[in-house]
Amino acid sequence: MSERTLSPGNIALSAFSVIVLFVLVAPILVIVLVSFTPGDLMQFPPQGFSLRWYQRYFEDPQWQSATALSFLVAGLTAVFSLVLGFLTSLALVRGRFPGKNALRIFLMSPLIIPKIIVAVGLYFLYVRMRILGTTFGLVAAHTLIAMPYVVMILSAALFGFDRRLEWAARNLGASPLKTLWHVTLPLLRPAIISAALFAFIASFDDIILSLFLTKLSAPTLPRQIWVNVQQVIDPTIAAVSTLMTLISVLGLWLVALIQRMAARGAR
Amino acid sequence: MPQGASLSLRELAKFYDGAGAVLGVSLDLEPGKFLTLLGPSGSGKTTTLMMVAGFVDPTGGDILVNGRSVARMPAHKRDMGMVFQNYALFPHMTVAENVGFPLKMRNMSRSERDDRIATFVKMVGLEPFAKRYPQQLSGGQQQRVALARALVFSPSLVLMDEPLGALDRRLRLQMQEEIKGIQRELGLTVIYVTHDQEEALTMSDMVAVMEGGRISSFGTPREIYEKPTNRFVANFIGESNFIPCHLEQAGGETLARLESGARVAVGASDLPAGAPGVIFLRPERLRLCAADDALPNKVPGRVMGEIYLGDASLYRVRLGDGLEVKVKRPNRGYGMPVREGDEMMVGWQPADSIVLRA
Repeated sequence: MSERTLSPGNIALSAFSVIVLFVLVAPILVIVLVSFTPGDLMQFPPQGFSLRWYQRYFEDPQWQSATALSFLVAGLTAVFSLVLGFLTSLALVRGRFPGKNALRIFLMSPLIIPKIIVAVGLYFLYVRMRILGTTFGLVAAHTLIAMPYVVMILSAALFGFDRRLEWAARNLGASPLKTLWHVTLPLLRPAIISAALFAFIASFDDIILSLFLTKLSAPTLPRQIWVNVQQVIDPTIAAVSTLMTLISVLGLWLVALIQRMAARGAR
Repeated sequence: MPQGASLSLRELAKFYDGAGAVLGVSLDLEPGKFLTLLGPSGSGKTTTLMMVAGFVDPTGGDILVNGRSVARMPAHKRDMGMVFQNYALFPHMTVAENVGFPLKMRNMSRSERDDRIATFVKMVGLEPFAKRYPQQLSGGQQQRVALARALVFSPSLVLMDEPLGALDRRLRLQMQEEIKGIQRELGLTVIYVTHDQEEALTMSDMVAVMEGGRISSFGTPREIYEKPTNRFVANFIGESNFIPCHLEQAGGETLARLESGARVAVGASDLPAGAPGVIFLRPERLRLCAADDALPNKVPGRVMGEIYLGDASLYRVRLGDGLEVKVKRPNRGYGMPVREGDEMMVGWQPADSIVLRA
């Protein structure tokens, strides 16, 4: 370990890091503090402490239905993108076919193409297909943007997978399906859970696709926040935002925990 | 009564993009026999094993187990137990679960399964470790788990792909003995792949020496070692001397003329008279002796050096025409002393030599 020195360079670097961190965290911190305000307005710093805006959130049927929809859509997105992503990753890692690299890049493209363009495209497509404003339509769109994460995580895991374990299972009498069930999937479990959480969050956090593809009468949670900001601006938004941030942080923490456990298990 | 099946390979071949990995392998193995496929890397031994196991589709030929073709059968229906090079134990299952896996796949009832698992875990001496995970075991213990798992369902054939390669020498020798013991006791038919010739000789009933995708020689370890049919096999297994010669017929007797002009008596040979050949001699069949020794074949030489092996010494002896041969002599502590630079005779019995194609 090197000694920490108090050279001017180090001090400058530390100061810079603190500023960056502050700029990143400060808005979240402000929102969290504001959410506990007893007053009727978004006010910083808050005057006193109260949970009334949390109570409002939990009692308001509009907020509750938006939350339920977001969870439903995010959950279905995780399921669909996992199934599709697993099969795609199998093909990408183990298949031998022309255009494999082109397909890999194509699948990653939702990461690069601005979401707004995807949203506009899907909007017109959905109008024609008459699925605009349906839950299925939104799940399909979210699956699209979740796929790159799922494929990246699962193909990395499959790439490092020791195929002799599958051979051993086949040799010992397991059919291809039983091999998948008893050997391949259990060993990929950490990667599958990580991929599912990433897909969930990709859907749960999305506002752009939701703005274009949901009905005003049945918005997702981020869209409901959006609507509220434009109409009433009361501190409920702060409470909701705090809860959403908490869910995302919990999700990422779970991913980290699983990866750490997997790393320990491999040793 | 051996529980193992018989195995026949018929012109088994595998080509990858036009290049041949296995070019027509045929052999017959009786039930309960231990066969080793021996050869350098790239000789096709592992590909042959993988075709028997069903992991590689043959391009041509057939595989018969108890006379029935299995070449088109999927791997999981072939009923063969395989021990992989790095064991391929399932890391998410305990020792008992690993051993029980083939039984579970065969839908054996829980109680019957537990009995069998207990029997086989005990057989390989791992009872105290049944609840452990593979990562918590040593290499030798993992090897035993792999063995128990491959045997627990009484497979028709047991396949082993260099199973002892990762173990240190002492453990390897011990495992060789254990595997051989279990194989004999249960009457297993085993196909064993290795590049270790010592392992092949000590464990096998039959050895197939492979070279360039073909079986170069097939026989018992004794036949392979003492009566090799070609230079590759003679060279690959054990230490060998090759003395260039030409065959001559003289009064119903076959003689070999060495390059120095000396003539020596040889055993039978398939080579025609006048053909160039090499006299094949194992170092331990050569003897350092005096000029008046009774051995029929003697050639003069000078001792160039000694390699001390403990139980024996290996002498490098330069013959008159400049060719060096190796002579192995057990260190019994008596007999003629030999020092570097000594002029002596190298002698042998004609029956101990074989003339091979050059």
